[in-house]
Amino acid sequence: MYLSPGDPAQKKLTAQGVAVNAQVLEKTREEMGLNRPFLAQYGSWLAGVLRGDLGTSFKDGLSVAAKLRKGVKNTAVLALGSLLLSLAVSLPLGVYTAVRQNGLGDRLIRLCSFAGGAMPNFLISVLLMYFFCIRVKAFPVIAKGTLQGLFLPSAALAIPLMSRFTRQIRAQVLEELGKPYVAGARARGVKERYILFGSVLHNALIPIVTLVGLSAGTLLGGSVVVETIFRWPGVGKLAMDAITARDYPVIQGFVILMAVVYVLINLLTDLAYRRLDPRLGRDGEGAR
Amino acid sequence: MKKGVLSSRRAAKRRVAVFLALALFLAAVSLAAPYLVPNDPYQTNSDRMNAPPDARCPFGTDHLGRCVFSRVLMGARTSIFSALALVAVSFAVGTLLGMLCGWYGGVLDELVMRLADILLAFPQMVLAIAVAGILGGSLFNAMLAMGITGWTLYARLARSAVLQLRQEPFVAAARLSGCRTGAILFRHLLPNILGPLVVNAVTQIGSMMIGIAGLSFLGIGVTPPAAEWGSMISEAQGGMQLAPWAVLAPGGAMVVTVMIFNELGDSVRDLLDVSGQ
Amino acid sequence: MEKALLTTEHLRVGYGGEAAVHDVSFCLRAGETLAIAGESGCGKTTLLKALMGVGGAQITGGRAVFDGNDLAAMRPNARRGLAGEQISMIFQDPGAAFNPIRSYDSQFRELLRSRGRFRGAASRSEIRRCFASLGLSDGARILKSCPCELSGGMNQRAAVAAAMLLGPRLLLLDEPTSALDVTAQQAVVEELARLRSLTGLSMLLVTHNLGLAAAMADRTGVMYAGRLVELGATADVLERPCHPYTKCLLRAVPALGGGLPQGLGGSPPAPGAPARGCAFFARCPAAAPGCRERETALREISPGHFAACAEGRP
Repeated sequence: MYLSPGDPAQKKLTAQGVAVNAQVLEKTREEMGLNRPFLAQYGSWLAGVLRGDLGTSFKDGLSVAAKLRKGVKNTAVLALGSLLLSLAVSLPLGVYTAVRQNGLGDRLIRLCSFAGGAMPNFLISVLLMYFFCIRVKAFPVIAKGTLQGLFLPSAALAIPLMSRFTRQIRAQVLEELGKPYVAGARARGVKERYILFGSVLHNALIPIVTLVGLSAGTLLGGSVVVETIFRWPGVGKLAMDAITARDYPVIQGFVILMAVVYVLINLLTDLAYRRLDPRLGRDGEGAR
Repeated sequence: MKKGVLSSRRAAKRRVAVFLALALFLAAVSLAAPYLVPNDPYQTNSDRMNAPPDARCPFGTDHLGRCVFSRVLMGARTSIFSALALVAVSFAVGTLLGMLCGWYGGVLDELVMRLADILLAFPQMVLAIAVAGILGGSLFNAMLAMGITGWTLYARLARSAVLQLRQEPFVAAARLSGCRTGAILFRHLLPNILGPLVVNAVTQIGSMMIGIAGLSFLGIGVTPPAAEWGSMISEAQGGMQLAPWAVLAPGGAMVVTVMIFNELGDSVRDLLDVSGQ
Repeated sequence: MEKALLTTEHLRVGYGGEAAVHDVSFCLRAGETLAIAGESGCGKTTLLKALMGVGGAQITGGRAVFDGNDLAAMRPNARRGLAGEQISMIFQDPGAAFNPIRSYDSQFRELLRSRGRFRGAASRSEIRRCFASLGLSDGARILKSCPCELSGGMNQRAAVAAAMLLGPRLLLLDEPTSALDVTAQQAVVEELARLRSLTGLSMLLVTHNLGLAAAMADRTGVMYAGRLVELGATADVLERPCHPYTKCLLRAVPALGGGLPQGLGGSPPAPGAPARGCAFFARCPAAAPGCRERETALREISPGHFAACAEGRP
């Protein structure tokens, strides 16, 4: 990052509306610690991180940690909202397409999900904003932290997830429906609906838990784009603003935060999977 | 219950052929873009701004009066080839590193795998945005940003495959017959591990395309006036009410292209699955 | 003369594109037990699955009429309504026909609940009554357990109870004893016999075990490569076989105090291969030069005893 063009000191002064000449520049650089050797700067930053101090923003002098803390709550709300929205849509769709395999509805839904998975999240965001804010005026263009403002950004993040989830759920349910106990239950006369909601869904959905965990990466990364477009006040937007202002401490803090969250989520997903799996033992090992 | 395994293999091959042909067609068209464009993609036209589609400009013009169709064509070149190049390089570097790690083990293995672990602790797009944002906007930086984590997938796959195959008798036989290490690695091991690696590579093309476009959209990838789908959408976003075609054309092109490459990846994976039965 | 409960006429059955059964015609009367014997791969399991309507097996040609209803022509909902209440099935692997981690009790109750019969305490007593009336012991213990905790014999007992719970008239059995040890086999055979005398049940039994056919069936059919090659009263077929294949099957059974079994070389044709003429020609010890193109419809050799070829007559 010290290879990059654009001097943070210069940017800061310009943003503050101060006329830049060599003397002022040099003084500001000294204040910001930019004229120390690279390793010294990096070293002291690292030491600070370990102490829990993420440094101060170049742009406005506030503590990086404080700025991040304000945004984290909003980003978490957005991520959770997207997850819930995508599950609410993909669960019924996934089950429906599995049960009515190769029917017209199945083919249509699979086509849509395939298209949805090929659309970048920024395109979805732009289209959503156009149709719902400008054409239809159903939602505010600048999303404040309200529920109404939450819907569009969540939808934007949720759509790529929906496509992946729907296909996975469909595959799991299909696999479950092919198992011998389903044929046995049908032969005994159990009504189809009871088979589906009794055993099939229960067994098929357990691996879905891990699916959710694996989407963390998409959610964290996608939040930057979506928050920027919809002006949702989360850490993603914060990061984008910091990039424009060359506010290195904030960028660094953001990356570290994201990494920590990501690793935590992966860990939890791993644990969850290992806990759910051996408890099942569902390969029909009966004592003969 | 033996179903027609032979017939499903043939169907899988046909599917791969269809999408490979489509993908190659797209690549060829975009390669020839400079010769196919009806108008100069960089020529601004203050009297034809935001004009709807007509005979001269099939997709209309953008807010600077440039022909959208020509820009979409040029953008295809950027998007498709940058993604292809990126995947090719990640594939080559990752596979090579992975094979070396699997073969030699030791310090090299430790170093490379630790590096991969560290890189994978970050969500890919977050790291890409940070890197591209800091390095500044350019196609090369965007590709670098996406590629930083991309190689790890191939490295891990290649490494575990080599570790497995190392024990096989045919490797010992090659050694005993005096084969040099390089020859063993490339002539004997590589063909056997190529399958899943290639599947992953093809599947990655679509997401790399989207990633680079996303970075360009944010302004930290390809920057205007260069024609690139992501930056085109970003530019046209504000004027969407006046000229929706300036967003829909590059957007549609992107979706169709990614869909074709994704389907190609899917069908290659199905083909290898079927023949692996 | 009792009315036929299940009649098949030149039935063809397959999975999707491939046919596993080419031509099967028989008539099962109420209260009768018909066994169909044959090697693995001859299509007998597929036949049962298609009649039941499970496992992807479909009737692709000919007719199958159950109690006056053409099975292939029925609407899917109506056909599914037959399952359990009119026709039920026992599978080869008893444990696999149930969800291995749920208790039998909950699965039985699910069956009753889904059919709108009985809920709660009433269903529990109904289940217990079923076990008792079928003479199946250990009912309480079975109900409390999961399939993965019980032995094969117990699981098969539970499967029988579950199949009979809604009071069907026809029971399809797919190799009911093949997965069990000898003691369990005998127990199941006895239970099925008791079932028959108690309820007047009709059974269509599929097996590669001729001894089972001898013990349980009134009539026996022999199947090869998707076709019936012999059909008649069990005693007739097993003691006076007509078709060379039947003779080979009998020779392959070890006899107490007698000689070693004589196997039959080669293997049956792959399923789906449409055989014109005699499918057994390649392995037939009694094959004559003109046999390959021979017509293979069942012909009545003696009253009630049909065979596709009489060359094997002793």
